[in-house]
Amino acid sequence: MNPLRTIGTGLLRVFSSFRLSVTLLVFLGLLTWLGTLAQVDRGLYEVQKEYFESLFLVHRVGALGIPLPGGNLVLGLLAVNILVGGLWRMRGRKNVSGVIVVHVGILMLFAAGLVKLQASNDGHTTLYEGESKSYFQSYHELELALLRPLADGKIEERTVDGASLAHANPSHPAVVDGQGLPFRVEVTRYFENAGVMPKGPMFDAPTPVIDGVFARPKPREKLNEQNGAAVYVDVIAADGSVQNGLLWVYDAHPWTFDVAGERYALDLRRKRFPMPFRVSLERFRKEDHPRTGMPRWFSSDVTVDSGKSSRLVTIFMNEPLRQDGLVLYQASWGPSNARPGDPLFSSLAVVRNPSDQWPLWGCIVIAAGLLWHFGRKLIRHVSREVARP
Amino acid sequence: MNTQLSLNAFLPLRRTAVLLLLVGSLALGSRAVSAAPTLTAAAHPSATAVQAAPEAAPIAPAVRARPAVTARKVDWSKTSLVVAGSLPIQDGGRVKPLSTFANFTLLRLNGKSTAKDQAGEKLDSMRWLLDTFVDPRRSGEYPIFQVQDSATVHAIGLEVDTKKKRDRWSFAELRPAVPKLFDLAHEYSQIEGKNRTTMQAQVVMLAEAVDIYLGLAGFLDFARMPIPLSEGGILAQEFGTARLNFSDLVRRGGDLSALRSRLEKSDDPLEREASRELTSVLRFAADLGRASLHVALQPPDAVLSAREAWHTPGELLSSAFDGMPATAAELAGLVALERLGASLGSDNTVDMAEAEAALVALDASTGPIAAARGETRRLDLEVTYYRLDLLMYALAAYILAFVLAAFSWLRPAAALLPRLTFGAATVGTLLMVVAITLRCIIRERPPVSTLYETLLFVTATGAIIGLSMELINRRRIALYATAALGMVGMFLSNGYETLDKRDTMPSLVAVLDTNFWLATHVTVITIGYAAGVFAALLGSVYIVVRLIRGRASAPEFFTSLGRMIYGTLAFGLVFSLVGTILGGIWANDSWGRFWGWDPKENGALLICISQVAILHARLGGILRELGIAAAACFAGTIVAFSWFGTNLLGVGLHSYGFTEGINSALWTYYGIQWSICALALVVGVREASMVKSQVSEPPATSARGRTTTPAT
Amino acid sequence: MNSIQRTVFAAAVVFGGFLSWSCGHDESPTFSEPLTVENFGTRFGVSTSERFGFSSAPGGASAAGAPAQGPTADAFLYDLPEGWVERAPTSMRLINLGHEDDPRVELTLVLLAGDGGGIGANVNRWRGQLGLAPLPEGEAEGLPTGTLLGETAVRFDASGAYSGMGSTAESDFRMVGLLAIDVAGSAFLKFTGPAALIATELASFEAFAASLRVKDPDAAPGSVGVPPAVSATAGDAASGAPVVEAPEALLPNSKDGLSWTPPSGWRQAPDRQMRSVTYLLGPQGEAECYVAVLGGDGGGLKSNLDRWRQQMGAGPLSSAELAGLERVPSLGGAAVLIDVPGAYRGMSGERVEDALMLGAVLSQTNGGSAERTVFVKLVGPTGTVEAERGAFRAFVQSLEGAQ
Repeated sequence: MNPLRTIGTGLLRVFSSFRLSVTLLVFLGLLTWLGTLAQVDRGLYEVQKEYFESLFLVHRVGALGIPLPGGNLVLGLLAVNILVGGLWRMRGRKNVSGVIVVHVGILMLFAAGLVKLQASNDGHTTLYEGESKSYFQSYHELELALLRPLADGKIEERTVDGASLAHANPSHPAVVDGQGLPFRVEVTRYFENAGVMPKGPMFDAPTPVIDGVFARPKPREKLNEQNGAAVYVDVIAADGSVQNGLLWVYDAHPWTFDVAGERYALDLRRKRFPMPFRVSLERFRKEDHPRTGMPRWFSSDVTVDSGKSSRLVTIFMNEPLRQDGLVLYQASWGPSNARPGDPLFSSLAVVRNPSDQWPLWGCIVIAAGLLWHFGRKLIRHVSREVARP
Repeated sequence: MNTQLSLNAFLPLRRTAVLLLLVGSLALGSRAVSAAPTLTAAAHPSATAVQAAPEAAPIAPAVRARPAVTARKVDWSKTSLVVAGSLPIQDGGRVKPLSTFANFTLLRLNGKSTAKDQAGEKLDSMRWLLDTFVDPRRSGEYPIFQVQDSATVHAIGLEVDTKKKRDRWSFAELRPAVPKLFDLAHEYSQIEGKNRTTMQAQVVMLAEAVDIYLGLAGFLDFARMPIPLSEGGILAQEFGTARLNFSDLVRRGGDLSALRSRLEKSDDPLEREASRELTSVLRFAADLGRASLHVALQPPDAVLSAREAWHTPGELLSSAFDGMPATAAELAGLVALERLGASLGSDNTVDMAEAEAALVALDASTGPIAAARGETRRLDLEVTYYRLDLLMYALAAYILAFVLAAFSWLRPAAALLPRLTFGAATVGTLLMVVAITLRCIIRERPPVSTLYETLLFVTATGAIIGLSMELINRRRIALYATAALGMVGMFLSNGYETLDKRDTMPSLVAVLDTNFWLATHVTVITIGYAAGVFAALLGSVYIVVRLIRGRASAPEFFTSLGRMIYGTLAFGLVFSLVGTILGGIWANDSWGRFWGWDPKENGALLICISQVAILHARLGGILRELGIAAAACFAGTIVAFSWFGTNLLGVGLHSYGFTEGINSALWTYYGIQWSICALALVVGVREASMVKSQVSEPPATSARGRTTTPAT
Repeated sequence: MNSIQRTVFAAAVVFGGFLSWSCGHDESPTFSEPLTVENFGTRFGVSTSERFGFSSAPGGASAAGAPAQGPTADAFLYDLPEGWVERAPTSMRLINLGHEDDPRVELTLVLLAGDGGGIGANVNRWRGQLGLAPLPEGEAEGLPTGTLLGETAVRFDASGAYSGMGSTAESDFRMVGLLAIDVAGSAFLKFTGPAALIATELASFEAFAASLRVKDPDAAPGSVGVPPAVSATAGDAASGAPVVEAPEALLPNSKDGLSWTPPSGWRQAPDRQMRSVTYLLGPQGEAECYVAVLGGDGGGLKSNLDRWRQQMGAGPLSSAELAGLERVPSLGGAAVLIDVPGAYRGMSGERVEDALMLGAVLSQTNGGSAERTVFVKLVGPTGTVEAERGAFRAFVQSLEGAQ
């Protein structure tokens, strides 16, 4: 017997078995449940990364650690299981057309999820009335941006992903290079969450003091959007001269420095994604239920200017704007402690997701398959029972 | 005035309710929900509901300045009650009949929507509200503040000096402690909700209740307190009287500010003094107006403005002063309110005829305005809905069905009994369907938009599933299960309404307020919940009967029950899966992400996973009949977790509901259901050892589990 | 390969690809390719203090009466010239020297967090005190410079009729000084007196200035300063920018020709129209205290007090009540204090039930007629305001004409 063939058949049998399906489903259920309970104490972003977007994790119960497969692994194996067992192995059997359709629908959902995970960007663009932007920024991800002001008022930007700097420390700084730059940037310290304070005479600073201020690391916030990262950077020019800067996600402007007569700036900020058009908030409207503080609806009147054309659109709750592969949603508004008469800003969630409509199609396919399969069984069952004396 | 929540009607049924003692688990469940803190020794649900507020003699306060309140010689006339009941009021963002407002307000304060006055006489919510508006001194004597924890009472400095435990207090008794109550409540409200002790939570709740009461009792103050002017002074001459009514000020509104500046700038010191008097008159009126801010009975006259929010007397005054005078109709309404307030004579009795006339006049002035604004289209329907109290009759029908089912099960030969059971259950279900439909029409929304409505919908849908199943296979199992589900479901709904203490037809927050998604996603998922719950019920029946009787006693029964469980699960899967995905699509349209691992989403996913896993386990021969029944039971707890448990976590985008007190009911259910799953284990072990001990086993029995071949 | 093997191979490839796709491997970071983008409000060359929000308007607690947490008189070392006497430092003047020959001579050192309005504003303020016309725009920057506490300082030297702090003008006075002004913190050394004596003591002044140094080498003026809350941009507001915590603030403040010392725990709020300064008090900033200055008599003492009383729902004052109000010394004169409990209804619609208002009205007179009137008003929930009564009085009393 061809050993490869035996192995092949064996693998096939394993991957198409019901036992594997049930086991994977039980693991998925366990992960879902544990991942729900974990959110009571920890933020969603953190839990999502650990339980649902990982290959392995160790779930802690007191002092005990239980190793578990992560969401990515379970869902990946489940996809294979559906493919091999739910589709391939089903061919030729009777009365399984509905089931096959359902499995195809589920695979469509999986595919949509995979595309969303790997190839999508989401974030928000937040505007006061009268403001406009042509980029949106991530809720969570950070980047280090190197800016150079140009003569015409524009800016030349280069960016590097913040995650690649997270391990920086004084003995192992993260060295960031760029093509054609007369200097390199070394990130010597990275703090996930920090506050910036001026150094007064009465106390010592735990971190270097630059220009009278220093970064004070703080414990991680549960809601990840509230973590304000800070980094210490050294700009080392070709001639060896070093300039030190402190960057913070919440600083009002970037840190400017000069090298070889050219002006540059470094900014630690939420990752920005360009939009192929410019969004200006003309008017934000909000109505509460009368005599209550409960919002009834809110919407933004925006001008969308793509260079070639410009149009006025109203973005309502539950009615997003779809344009040029991006979808803009009326997500929220603020500031939350605004008093009557204070200016409000509108927060538009922006998503670039190629698989945006796939779940809808998947849903239709699944519904059709389920109704076909179980509908036929129900009819058979009913006619049998009615015929019974 | 009948209310929805009059479980008092079950007095005659108390006898039959004794039977319920036999079905321990059901009684435990509903007890936990509907009577949590006021738990008494009685174990049956109707008894706890009927438990009267203890007859406690009002504690004589240390100083009683007013004479004792005497029994009223003339009560509110029927006309007054009917007219007042249909008055439109804007509250919680919607226009509703005053009777609904009265019901739910009294429910909030009293824990029940009817109360007893200090003489033990029944007091319905509309009479209570009218007394509170017009005769607050009398209403202050009614013991309508429910305080469940004696520690709370001690904390605010009151003495509990009767031997009997009492849990209802009147405002007059609480009054000396009110400042301390508000202080403590302010302090405790800084503590986060889940970290508060029972006493602290009760103090905050009591303070809120007292605050609401004060808003109602003070509403007509502006009508009861005349505004005196100095006799013969310039202002008295201007107004033509030395005693001003509030409405006089509103009527003169616009010129008042001109009058004041004229007087202010005058050289004549007397006129300047009059301007100061005018200022203090206006300030006094503004204070009175501020006391009336909580009750919005006056719709803005459409001619002048398309303003959404209704007026209160205080707002009418400030609008008039700001250059937006009240229209004739608005003034007429204000005058009618004044008449109502003034019907409390100087001898402290209410002139009922005058009050009735005032109410009629109020209705005549505000009614047409509200109707013209289109806000009272469904008002009468809502009054009728609450008056009909269909859900109470549905509960009665289900209890009857349950009792008949019990008898029918004990005496299977009697052919009439199952038919009667079916009839009763059908009546109950029809009543529920009508009630739900009425609610949809009244609120112009799909049937499920709040947690309370999910309870109603799940009960009705579960009953429909069961009755349809019964029609198809006539094996009576589904019928009995339906009767049980209907009864328990109705008890849970009533209990939830009592615990929540809020209007069950509220306005929705912006993101939920979309009829399309409420009609699709929410309805479909709720049907999925119903199927999951019904399957768990069938599974529990399976296990209990198999434990008692053993499979060999009626193999066909167990086979068909096993099939029913499978069928219900499959039905549930269709709706749960499609519903969950629809939820994701809704989230994508609202927030831009299809799936966020939010607790509510995870809960829905868990239901789908459990149902899919059971079906696949069945196909793969991993679970046989008994195993499927046990798994269906466990899946029932997953449904309960997803339905209520996720809201209790207080995490994530879906934490809209504040469902304190549900926790104990939830864990009771978990306990019962998991014990039944454990019983399945017992059955399995027992039957396995029985198989071993019977060496020569006919193939039929050993292949028992495989009779249901996994033919997909 | 037969079909089974192909399937297995395909599955393995898919799976392997999936695995490697989802776990990326770490590379050493590089900047992306340059991209030209529009500028949406980014500014270059912004100073550190402005970047982090520690800019010209300082706020926070001070050393009014309490043990100082910042530079105090003890923080400085200097050589006292002969014939000079040390006087008690005030809340404003960290060094307060006089001359034994003439009590009108003063040598003072004042520190400010922030630049007090810039070089021009400060120079012209001093010129104003001498009755001199202000310098044309930009000319102040051209003045000669010197050194104060190790920083570059503008040298001021002018003569005129000195009327600092509301006293009647004394003619033939001379003022010599050094102004070290920076956005992060400024120092003012001022030497004033009759011109003849100033001329005699000029050399001592220079020697004194040269000898003046800070005890703690780290506490240079630039690093002495304190931050208010960081104001987040709209983009970060959605994600909730936190408030910067800071050590207790150290220095008094000045604006509109007034200076004062805010009490401990008072946090400065952003500037508003018509107000010199606004503070927020209480743990949630639920009470507010502001200072406003109006020219002339500002409408009259009674009418303003009555207006405030009306906001609290109380009636106007009778003349007896008016006469009976408490007075405290402030701004070289006396401030009238009122306190009004009630329900506050503010002008922009805000309401506070159970509120308490503390107010003070004081006139800065110039020979009998009021030059301008200063209003200080504190309003908020009764509990919070009650706790700040003492601080309010101290605050009012700390008002001084600016140097």
